[in-house]
Amino acid sequence: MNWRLRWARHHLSALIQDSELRVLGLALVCAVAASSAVQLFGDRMARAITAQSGESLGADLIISARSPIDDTAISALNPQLRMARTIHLPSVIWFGDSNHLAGLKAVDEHYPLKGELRTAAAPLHEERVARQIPAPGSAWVDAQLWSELRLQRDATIEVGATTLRVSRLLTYEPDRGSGFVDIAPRLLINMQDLPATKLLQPGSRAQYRVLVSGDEDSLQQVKALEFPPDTQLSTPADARPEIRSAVSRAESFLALASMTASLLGAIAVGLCAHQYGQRLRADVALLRCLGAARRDILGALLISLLAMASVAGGLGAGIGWAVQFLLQDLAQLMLLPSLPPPHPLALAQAWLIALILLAGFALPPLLDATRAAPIAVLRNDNPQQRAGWGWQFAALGGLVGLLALQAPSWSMLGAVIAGQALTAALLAVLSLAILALLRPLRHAALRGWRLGLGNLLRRTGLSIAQSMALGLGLLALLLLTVVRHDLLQGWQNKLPPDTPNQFLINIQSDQVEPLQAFLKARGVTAQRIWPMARARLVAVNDQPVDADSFSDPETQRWINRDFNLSWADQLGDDNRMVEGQFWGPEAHGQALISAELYVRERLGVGIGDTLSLDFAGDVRRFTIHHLREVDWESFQPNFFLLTPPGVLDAVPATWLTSFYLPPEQRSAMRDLSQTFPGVTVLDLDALMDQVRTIMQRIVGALEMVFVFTVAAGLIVLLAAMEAGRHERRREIALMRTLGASRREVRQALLSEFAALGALSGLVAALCAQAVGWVLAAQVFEIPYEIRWLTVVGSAAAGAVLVCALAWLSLRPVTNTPPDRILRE
Amino acid sequence: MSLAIQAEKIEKSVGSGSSRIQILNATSVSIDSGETVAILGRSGAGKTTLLSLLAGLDQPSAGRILLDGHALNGLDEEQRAKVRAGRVGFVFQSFQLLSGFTALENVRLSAELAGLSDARERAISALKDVELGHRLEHLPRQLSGGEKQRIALARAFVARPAILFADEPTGNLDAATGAHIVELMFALNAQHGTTLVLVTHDEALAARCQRQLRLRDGQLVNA
Repeated sequence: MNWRLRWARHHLSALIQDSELRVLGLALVCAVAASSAVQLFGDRMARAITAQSGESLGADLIISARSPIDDTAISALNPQLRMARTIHLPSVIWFGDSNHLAGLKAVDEHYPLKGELRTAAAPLHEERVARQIPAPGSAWVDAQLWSELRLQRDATIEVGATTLRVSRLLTYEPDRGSGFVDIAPRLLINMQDLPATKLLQPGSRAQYRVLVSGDEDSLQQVKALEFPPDTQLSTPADARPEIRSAVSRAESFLALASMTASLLGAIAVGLCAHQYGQRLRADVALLRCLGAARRDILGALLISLLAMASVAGGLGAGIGWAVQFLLQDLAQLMLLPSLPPPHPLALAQAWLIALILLAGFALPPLLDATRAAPIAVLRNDNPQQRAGWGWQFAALGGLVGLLALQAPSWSMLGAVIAGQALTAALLAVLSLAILALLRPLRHAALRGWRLGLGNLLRRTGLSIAQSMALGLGLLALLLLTVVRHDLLQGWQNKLPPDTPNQFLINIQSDQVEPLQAFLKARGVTAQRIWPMARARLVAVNDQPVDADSFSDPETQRWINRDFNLSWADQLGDDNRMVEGQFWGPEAHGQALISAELYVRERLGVGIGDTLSLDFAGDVRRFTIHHLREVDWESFQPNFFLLTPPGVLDAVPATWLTSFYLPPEQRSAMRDLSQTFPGVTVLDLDALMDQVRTIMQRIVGALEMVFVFTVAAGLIVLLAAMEAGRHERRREIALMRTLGASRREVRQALLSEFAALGALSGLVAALCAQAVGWVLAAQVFEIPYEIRWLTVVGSAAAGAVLVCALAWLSLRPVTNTPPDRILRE
Repeated sequence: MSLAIQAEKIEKSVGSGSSRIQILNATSVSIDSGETVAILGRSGAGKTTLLSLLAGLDQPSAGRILLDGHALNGLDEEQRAKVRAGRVGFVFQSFQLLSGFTALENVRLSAELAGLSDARERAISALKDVELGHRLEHLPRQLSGGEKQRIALARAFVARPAILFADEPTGNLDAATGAHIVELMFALNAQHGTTLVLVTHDEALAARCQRQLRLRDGQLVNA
């Protein structure tokens, strides 16, 4: 091994032995771990989606509608076409006294046409491919429903008016989507059992599907057939857009965390490398003095940087590899049950990140060190080099390259750079302001504290850099914990305690009175009972419209399907008139319509315009009477369109109502399901619990990646401490030599770092509260109370944290005899 | 006898305009091969500057220098480093060892830079010559000041350089250790027939050299 390799090896071993390189190594490992965890996980999710696309529908084509589909025309097309039929609808399932809302799916014996069903005997049992669908009289439930109802194998559950035996645990179904009936726990039954449940009533929330599989020509023929207007055709090409969208959002969020960690890592690497470069100048001067060529010195340094990138990259990638397995929970929440194994090639990017970090942020100061003049060995001086333009360009290039590698889009790259710059500026300004406020205090303090505060104020630049570094880390932590909790709590508190938690839909007209009597007999006070008809918009101001008449996808979707409307002679408190007045009794029977602002936004219509609605072939024309705005978060039934009473009496309608049911009266709902099997009960409490659980699990998974961000913030703090460490060593030695006691020195250090930590915590908490307030006001529209206790607590936590770090970093210095330091 | 070093009317100044300081002023000196020369003078007289120019560590503002027959004028730092490698040895007041290298690696480095194929064997031999054969794998921080300076001596002589430059070699050592180092240095110098240029404040140490040069106001008064 020649001297170049030995010198490179020395730098590598300094990753452990030298405090600056140790922090540099930690920063590299942290940035690479965050990035590789996110990259590996993202790669696995992308491959899972791609792999699933073929079987994501369970067929080559799905025809779905809200009413039974006549498939005789399809059968007649080509005998080679295979078909299966499914019906999906929400229903409350009972087991003993427990109930839960489930997404019921009835399938025929041909299901699925593509992909496979997988089941297990019970949770944690071996998964097997199912060759057949559930036998008549039996049902398969998924793990969530199994757990919610505390089922055992062969348990008997009540589904509408019938009972079924739970024979298997459903672990995988190829065509599970993410609509309500798909997110809700799954109950899979045989189509033959559906009539006995009596859940299928006119106007029920059922979705009918015909699954088709065959060659391309036959499928084209099917697509060319005429279907009723509310029929939708889906192919694998447009399968699961909701999952792609959810995955993309999660990836963006994860990328944000990993980009922040990389950014902080870059700052730490730059700080440490700059400091190490200053010390390296002495070695370089000696080597040059002894006759070493600069290119040899450069070569040795490049070897060591490559080795560092390999070691830190490998370690970081290993940690990232382990962490991304923990993120699998997130994938399951997005209904991607089995992810393919991680691809080793995705790890290559981890090394690339390490290389970019070193090349952009460590190489420039080290290159500069190789220009040290040999004469420095005689003079014992190593003049500090100021960063030149070359460095700044390298750092900027490295930064953009680093973030571009991880950013899902250029717009996000720009947003992250701008957002981080803004946050850093805000932190810097706040730090500067607080430091200015501290200035008068140093004269009033005790000697040790005076020295400490003096140090903090004397090194204003370094103090602000340190405060920003820790502040960024603490800010991420506060936003994810305290502020998130406050916002959720605030949103939940917004609802009054008697907010309806039960919705009954699909009530037939002849059930209205018996149902009201049923509820009254059980002491349940129902809110209004609303009629509900379904219609489709066919003309605006007598001009026929369809989806193609609008370019906006949301309007296209709205136009493309039936929507609900109702009639009323008075409005609830959650409706606010925007234009015009609500009608009086004289409007009874007139073809007027009350439109919510959404209708104006989508169609661009106003008072006096006409809307023609098709009620199952019965087209009627209405004039917009007024515009109103609905508070959709009131949890009360509301409609985009209302007519006066007496207009739609002849139109087929169902009814809905809502009410608050105390937990102790839950059993009433069981009786209701049995007495009115066709009425669908939506238990909002259960839904909210489900949403809350899913949110907690998603946030939990995301927080794992933000741990890296916080760690990176702490590493930057360590790096910033290292930056002043050598100067501080000499200062401490001088103070001790001039008679300061060890206690006074420690007091000075503790006061300096306590003040710095409190400053960072305070600044981070103020920023977090500001973000919380903006989110509350602009997004959630809820009042947000500044939590001063959190502000004080964060300042205290920052002080303790920084003191602990400083203690670890500088304790050996205070214990070293001053003469030894001064002789170095 | 050939000349190891020849400097003609060399000048060195730093700064510019009104803040310009003339450190050396038209100084000339010739040193024969194998000669031992001490450079004396008060602090700030320019001793270290003269040594750095003669060793090719720095460039004069004016004048001409020949080092072991090689003209240093007009050479850039890279070319001067090439001239130094193998021809020149150094001993410094503050030892100047690579902290991450063992004693053996520090000495071997100099032999390798001189292009010697048996660098390791020569380094071991050089360390044995300075009575550190038992400290080959020790790092500088594990050694005393005297031991560090002996490693520096071994490094200086390992490539059998034509010229040895020593800058206050006993400045960081106690008297007894310093005396031991001086004995070793002169012994090795005699053994290898090296030209020695020694910068010191110590009149007794200077007296051991064949010739003493005094620097005063940027000029050698008895060159």
